[in-house]
Amino acid sequence: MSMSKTSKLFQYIGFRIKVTTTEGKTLVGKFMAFDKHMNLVLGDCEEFSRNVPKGKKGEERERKRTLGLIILRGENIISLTIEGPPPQDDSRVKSILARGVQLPGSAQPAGRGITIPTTAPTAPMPGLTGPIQTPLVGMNPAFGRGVMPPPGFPGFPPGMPGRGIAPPPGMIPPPGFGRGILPPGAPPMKRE
Amino acid sequence: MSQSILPLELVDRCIGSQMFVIMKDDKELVGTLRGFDDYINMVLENVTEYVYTDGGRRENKHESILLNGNNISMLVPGSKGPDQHPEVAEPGQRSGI
Repeated sequence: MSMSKTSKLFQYIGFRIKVTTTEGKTLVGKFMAFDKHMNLVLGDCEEFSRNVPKGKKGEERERKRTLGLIILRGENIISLTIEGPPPQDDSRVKSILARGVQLPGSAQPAGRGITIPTTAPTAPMPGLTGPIQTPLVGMNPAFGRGVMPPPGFPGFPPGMPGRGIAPPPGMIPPPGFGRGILPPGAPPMKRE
Repeated sequence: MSQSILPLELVDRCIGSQMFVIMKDDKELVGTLRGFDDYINMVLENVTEYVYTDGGRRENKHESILLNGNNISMLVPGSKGPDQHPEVAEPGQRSGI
């Protein structure tokens, strides 16, 4: 039995293939195995046939039959073509992938351009900043957003909008206004 | 060596269970697989043979048969026969078959 990994057919194991047979049938299924006779094992196979049985003369419609797992004799195969990449929810393909064989068509997670920051975030998008992650010792929880960085912290870049602006001296934020954001250039609030 | 099962190994695992055999001509057989050889000549038991003719489908029963592998087109392991795979008309013609 000469079936090596260098075999050209082997790279398409797991793909959906379409097989045309000598009887004029077309079989579409997941390519699971083959041998030296080109006997095939097809999973989730569907059979399409044009030639209606002789009992229904005149009808030239195409009929479909769902067969499931089949063994196809290589003797009857005319042609074989790739119909599509492996189905993604396929456990067998996953087990092949787990062994390090990278099949074409395997998926990678994709986002919409938002990456999870692995370093200290620079200037987060307005409205997307969450709570400050590291709780500061001695911090008043009511004013969580308006604290100056502790001594030794490199501090925020100059001109950075948004969070971290210290309240003006003497100003006490009203209760519930913990967010402490002042629009740039806004006149300082005065309490009378 | 091989990551997937060979076709004939799969047939071997089906020994003792029901098998739906589709022949090259308009014949189909359902029976219990007792054994087979390298040519996929098969011994089947409790066989129902479905013959598709002009008059429709005819059924013949056989207790035990030795089936020549020459005329086999397809094997469906575990299937109980053609009634388990109802035919549906495909809407629209598929081109390029």
